[in-house]
Amino acid sequence: MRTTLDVTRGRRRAGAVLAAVVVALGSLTACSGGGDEKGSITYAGFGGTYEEAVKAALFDPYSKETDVKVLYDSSGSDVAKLVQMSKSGSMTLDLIDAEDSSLAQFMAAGILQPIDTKGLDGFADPSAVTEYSVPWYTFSRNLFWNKDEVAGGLDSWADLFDTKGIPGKRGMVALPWGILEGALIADGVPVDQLYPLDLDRAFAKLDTIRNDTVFFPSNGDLQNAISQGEIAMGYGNLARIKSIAKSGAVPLDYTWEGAVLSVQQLVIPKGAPDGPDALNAIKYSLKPEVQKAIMDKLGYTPSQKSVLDGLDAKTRADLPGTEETASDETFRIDVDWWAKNGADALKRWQDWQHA
Amino acid sequence: MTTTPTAPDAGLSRPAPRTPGGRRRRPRGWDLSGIPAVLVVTLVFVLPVAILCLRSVTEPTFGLENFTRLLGHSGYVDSIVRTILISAASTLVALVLGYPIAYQMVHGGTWLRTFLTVAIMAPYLTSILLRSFSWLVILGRQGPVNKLIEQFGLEPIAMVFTPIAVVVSLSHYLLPLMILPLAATMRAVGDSRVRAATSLGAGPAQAFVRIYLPLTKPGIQAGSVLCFVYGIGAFVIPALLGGSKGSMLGSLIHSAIKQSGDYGLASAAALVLGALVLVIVLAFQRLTGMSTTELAGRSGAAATRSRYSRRGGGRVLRLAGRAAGGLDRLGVTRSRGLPKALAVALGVLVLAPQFIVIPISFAATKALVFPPVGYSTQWYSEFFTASWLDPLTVSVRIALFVTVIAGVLGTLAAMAVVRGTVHGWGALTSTLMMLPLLFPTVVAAAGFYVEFERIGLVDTELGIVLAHVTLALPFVFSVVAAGLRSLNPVYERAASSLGASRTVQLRRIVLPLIAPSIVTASLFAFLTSFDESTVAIFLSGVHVKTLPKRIFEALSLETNPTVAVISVFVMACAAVIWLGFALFRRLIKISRSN
Repeated sequence: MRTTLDVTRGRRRAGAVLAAVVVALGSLTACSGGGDEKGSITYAGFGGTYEEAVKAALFDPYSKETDVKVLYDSSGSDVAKLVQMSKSGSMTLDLIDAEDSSLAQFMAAGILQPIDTKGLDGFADPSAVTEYSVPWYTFSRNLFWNKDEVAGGLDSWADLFDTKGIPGKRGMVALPWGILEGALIADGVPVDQLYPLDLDRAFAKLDTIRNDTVFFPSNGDLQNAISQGEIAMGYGNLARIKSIAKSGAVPLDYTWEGAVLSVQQLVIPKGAPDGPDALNAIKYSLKPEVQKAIMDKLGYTPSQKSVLDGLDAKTRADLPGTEETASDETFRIDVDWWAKNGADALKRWQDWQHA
Repeated sequence: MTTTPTAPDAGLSRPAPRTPGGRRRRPRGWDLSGIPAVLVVTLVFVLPVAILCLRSVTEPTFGLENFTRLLGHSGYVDSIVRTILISAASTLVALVLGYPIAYQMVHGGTWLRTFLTVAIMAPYLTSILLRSFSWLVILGRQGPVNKLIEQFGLEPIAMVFTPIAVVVSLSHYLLPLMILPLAATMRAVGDSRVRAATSLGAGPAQAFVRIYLPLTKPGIQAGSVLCFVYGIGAFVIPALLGGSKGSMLGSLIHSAIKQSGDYGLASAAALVLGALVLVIVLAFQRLTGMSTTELAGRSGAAATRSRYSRRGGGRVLRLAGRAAGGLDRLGVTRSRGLPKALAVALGVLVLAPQFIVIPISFAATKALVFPPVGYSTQWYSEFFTASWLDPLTVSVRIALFVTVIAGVLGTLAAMAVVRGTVHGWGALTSTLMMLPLLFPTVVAAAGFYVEFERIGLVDTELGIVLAHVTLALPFVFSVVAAGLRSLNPVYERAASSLGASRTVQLRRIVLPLIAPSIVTASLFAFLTSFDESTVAIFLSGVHVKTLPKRIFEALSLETNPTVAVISVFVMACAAVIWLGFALFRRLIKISRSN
């Protein structure tokens, strides 16, 4: 026989278990939904040492001053993915770090919020500012090599494609911008006649180095492989190259010949959970001290004229886009061509990657 | 006589119908106790995968566009063929290395058996990410293998970012899956028949080739199918070590979803991968008559009774037998030490990658050079920063939730299958429960991602917990079911006749008696979630980051020896637990003998 006491005790215990379950599930959902409330922005950059630099130069001081928390995502170059995310209404990002060509494709897809650029001025190149974007620095991708493996170095895109004369594993990021153009330059197309891109010719040229080249999913993967000595030469973001050279992991050198220039812009996607704070962060990025810090950490050229004018010749001689580093093969991506043909070229590039 | 359902889980199973006079109807409610687990697996696992498959013909427009792109483009076809070839090569390597080890694990002395078991289980319990890191160091351009090659004055070989690194690392990963069914079969075969053959005049090699090898064929088959199926679904290893030349379908699915947002192509590739696995498993079942559950449960022993084991062998085997006879006459095979030495050497080879990380963890630089340059403890202090401790906390919390949820659901499902009365229902339940174990996780992860994105569960702890529960259920279910099968139902009937309701039976009789199974199952559930990398890589992101996801980032985006520190900690934990367990057993033995 059970007594009433037993019954109430049992009920009490059941109640306690139920309460525990509710509390547990509550804590689980509370932990999950944390990031989207006001006062926190999610920034899509490129991870690794780049993220560390941007965090130290821009977001740490910004967060300190405004109390807005910044979360980091590394899908900044996944243009197709970001477009898809915005179109399916699941945009979780507030601020995207975009180079020329991705900006062109974002604009073509219509996924950006117009930015009120009133009060934003002092740009060295005001023509780079668009209705949807604010330029914050100019960067380059350069040809680089491991001095232990390629004694003579590289002087041109033709050298990178000369697998017989300069043997060794090539490494690049699996993003087409600059690589398609570089293949055409290596094949003899003059720099001023690159556009419209002859894709058939570019892919045919790329076929010739396919077996000697590893394409990495991201800048971080490429940087990692170079640091481990797996890659003898290639084409990559200058900041990453400098970061490896500085770490001393492998002896790395680069050339300004054939460097590809691009303006880096900050944009806010449609459906961003916290657009106003993202805009504040963009404004913050133009402060002279932030611009200076970015230059010191990444080695890229400030977009603010006042900062750029204050630099000495020695500093300018190692910055992308200055007269000192201009070369015959240096070129800029044609934003209009990529805006119109980017989606198709990307699909073809993706198919070629797996071939 | 008054009884009231008082157990905390009263809501989960109906109270037994009471009838006057203390007599009870035979409890039939166990059939229903599997429902929560079945619902979870169906809704969280099967449904997303089904929708993913559907998407392959509806995205971006209705039609076979994705398949014509996938199968019409030589590159993607290469990728499919490469996936099959790499998996087959890894399976073969695992078989060649695994057979001698399995043999000594069964027939060797106590010391050898223990050593080999540790050598096999230690890597098995180490995260696949940490093992990939070890291989990255070993096979790297500045790693020990290439250092050795350079000693001989040869050019270093590029192995990382080629299929070589993938096959080496994958076969190492698959080895336990090959050895467990092999060893089970060998144990069932025993050595009596070999002794009979020897007494009839066969030499050791001949007896082995003509008698032993054919008898262990079911184990070879089960092991090979398991390895092949798991190899085809590999994702982390090719993603980290394969580069563009060693990429497999798993990495194609990942990059299509996460980088290009090309869900159509990803789902077509996922469908191809899933179909490959299903075809292999079904063909295997047709050939051997072994059930999926048996295969997944890796019980090769049951297979020895299958009709095919009696089918001796073809011409190849006869030829091999003759060759072996020749070897016997030469007297080469008389040595009993040779196979043992071979097994020990292989065991050391399997275990060695574990230890390479210890010197790396004390490196002074970020470069993965072996032996490392300089000495520092900076990576140890880096581990104790929020960058690593936060993901660790997240992983532990998720794993605890998974353990509790999968533990309860899996145990109830096991009760439903073992104690249930409706046969077809039980078979369906057990197939559903084991499905997540055999089905390629990368396909499931793609399904989770695409479906969870729609309902806002991507990058949430709840999403990862739900996904991990389905992956942990097979372990809980099979371990608890095995425990239940060995439990005589007579105790429950006795309790029932004395008036205990089913919940009371479960709480007071069944659970205490199968407690060891439940503890083992919970441990498996915890480890499954804690170690899980594929789903975490797909589902965790900015707001939620598990430890495996953090390690994956460190491996792919940064060169970071902190990963080596984690390996060292994992090894230390495993050693402490193992020693503690051994001590515990010793103590129990002493207290019993007293």
